[in-house]
Amino acid sequence: MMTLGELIKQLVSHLNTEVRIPFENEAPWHELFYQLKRENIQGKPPFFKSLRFDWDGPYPKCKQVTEYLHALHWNACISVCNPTFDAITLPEDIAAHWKAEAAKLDPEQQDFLSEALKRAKQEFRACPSQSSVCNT
Amino acid sequence: MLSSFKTLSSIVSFLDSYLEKTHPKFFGRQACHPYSSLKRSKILHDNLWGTNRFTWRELAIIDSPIFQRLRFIHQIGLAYHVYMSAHHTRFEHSLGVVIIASRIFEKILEHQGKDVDTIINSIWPKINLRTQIPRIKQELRLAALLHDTGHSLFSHTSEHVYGKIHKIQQAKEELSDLTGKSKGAGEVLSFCLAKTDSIQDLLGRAKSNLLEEEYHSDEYQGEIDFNNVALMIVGRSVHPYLQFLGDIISSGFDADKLDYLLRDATNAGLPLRYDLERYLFSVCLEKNLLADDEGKLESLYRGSFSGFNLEKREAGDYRSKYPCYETYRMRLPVKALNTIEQIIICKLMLFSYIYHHQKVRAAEGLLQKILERLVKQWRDQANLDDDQILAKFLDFTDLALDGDLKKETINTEIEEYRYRIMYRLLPREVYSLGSPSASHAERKSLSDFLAAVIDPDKKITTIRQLEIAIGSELLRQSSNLATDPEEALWKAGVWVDAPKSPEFEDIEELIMHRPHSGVTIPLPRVFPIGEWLDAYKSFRYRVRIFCFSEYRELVQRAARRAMETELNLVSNEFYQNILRRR
Repeated sequence: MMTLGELIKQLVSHLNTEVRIPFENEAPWHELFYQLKRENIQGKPPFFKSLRFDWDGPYPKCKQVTEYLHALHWNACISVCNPTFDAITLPEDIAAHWKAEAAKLDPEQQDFLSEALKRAKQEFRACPSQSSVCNT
Repeated sequence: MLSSFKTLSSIVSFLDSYLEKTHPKFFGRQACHPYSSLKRSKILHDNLWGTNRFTWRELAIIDSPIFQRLRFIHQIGLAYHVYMSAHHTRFEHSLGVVIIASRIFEKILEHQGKDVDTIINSIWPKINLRTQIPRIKQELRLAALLHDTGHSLFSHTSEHVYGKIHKIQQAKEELSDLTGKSKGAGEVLSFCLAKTDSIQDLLGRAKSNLLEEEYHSDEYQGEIDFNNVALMIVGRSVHPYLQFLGDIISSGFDADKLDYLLRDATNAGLPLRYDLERYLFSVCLEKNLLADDEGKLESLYRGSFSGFNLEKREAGDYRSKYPCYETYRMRLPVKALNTIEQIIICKLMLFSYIYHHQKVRAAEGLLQKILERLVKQWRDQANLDDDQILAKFLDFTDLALDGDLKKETINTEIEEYRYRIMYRLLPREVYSLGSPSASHAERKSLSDFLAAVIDPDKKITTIRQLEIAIGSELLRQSSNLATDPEEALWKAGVWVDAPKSPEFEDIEELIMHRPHSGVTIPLPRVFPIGEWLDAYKSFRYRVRIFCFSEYRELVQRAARRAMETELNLVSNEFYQNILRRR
């Protein structure tokens, strides 16, 4: 069964070249995971049941998502664009290595991953880069 | 407030009966303390924050066993094994937090007194401001005083163990449902203690036993709302407009942090400082939003504040796509950036120098192993239930290391570990791995391992698998060491240590951008705080393999073999990089 970390790794590796994956602005990540938890989607991994969201600002925040995302960064698995730390980039060899793990998922979980990827693209595309916000 | 939270209610009742049983003179039906008439206030002197006044309510708690036991719980656990002067305790820290929380509150009053008046008038339109401001200040100070009362021996080291008790895990979930915030095991217990009748009765007796003397002009005369006190401990309040009080006690730049950073550094003898005056000069309130799509906050406010009638904004109505409440938050403006940087650097340095120091981790690892074995022993051999185990942890302070813990472990294999902590025969670091350890060849394998170690659903099994592989290798290389891998690990004092990295709770949320300027400047443009932390952690964070000194060479060989087979890390150069030499 897919864990939280594995889902994040799959999202990052699959979207690596397709869309700008936000890092500094975590809101789209939290919104995405909140949507995935709240909605009835087939093949949803069981870890979502224990995923908790804090209500301490304008949007829900999941501590586990923040921690894992940052830990991936400081473990140097992912890198971010300096100097604004706007978006995540993943070295190609690591991306290919992680993507290959998706093939081991059962068909239901693969369907769930496809749905999560679709929603992630929408969320991430709607998120302006920090530098463009600054320029307005 | 707790009627639909069975586990939290049950812990509150358990604490009441525990306190009555262990301290009958202070709590429960036979309680008689405080015996002698109480002064309305007293002056206490703190080595960091100087001379300060404490009210009779605070003194009644300070002079009770639930607070006095904090004198025997070191603030930074077993760090005195490395920093010999780090003997400061949760006792003086808690008093320090009262002082700092009070100063923050007073500064907010000084800077934005009118805003505070507006808040109070909106919440209690029929009650005089002059009584309500001293009231919330007193509640804030009591929350600061009680915020660490749930701690057990050696602070966070034991918290990792009693935090795994099923009842505490359930209580953590309930507290998250109640408050919409995730909190640790120690905070759950402190929250529950603040909700006990024992504390309220103690203050009731103290009130009826006050000396007839002139009282201080800002002394609050009325009743305390212990819902508010308990909620502040976990970073909330009974009303969204009072959220800033919860922020003062528990948030990214709270009074707790301001005290412990300076206290830990000073007592350890480290020359780390931050500019408190600048912090106090800058701290302010900001009107903001609390989204509440799951309705947790609505239930909380309705359940804890009688007559709560603040309307929740509709989704999309007010800068949020979720239904939300307007709130007032404690904020630091961007002009306080220097202080913010100092606080962050200070915290990172303390993690690096003290909390994650290899010998501190070694001592804490040993203690954690002792407590885990004891809990298993209590459950399997003595058939103790969750409440009885919790009672043991509440009985224990650091004195137990040479007292109750000694009695519990005598004639068992655990005694050897206790003796080693007592006389500083601490394990040694054999290997130390971090992301910079890998050359290109190992990057994939090491990133797989490190990514698994930080994955909450995989961490325990990943570490356990590696440990068992090391145990099996130990047996293969020295068959007379033990009869199974588990025993071999225990005998050689081997474990894989992956500490939790330093955290800052929602730090970006607590920094106010430039208001009224018409320009939105994202914080990362001026201060990429999360990435600062990440960059620092990537160089300082280490997964370590420990063992007792006398088994070092054997463990070095066994651990290498285990990592080669389990993690597919094979190059000689890699092992040269991660090997710890004397």
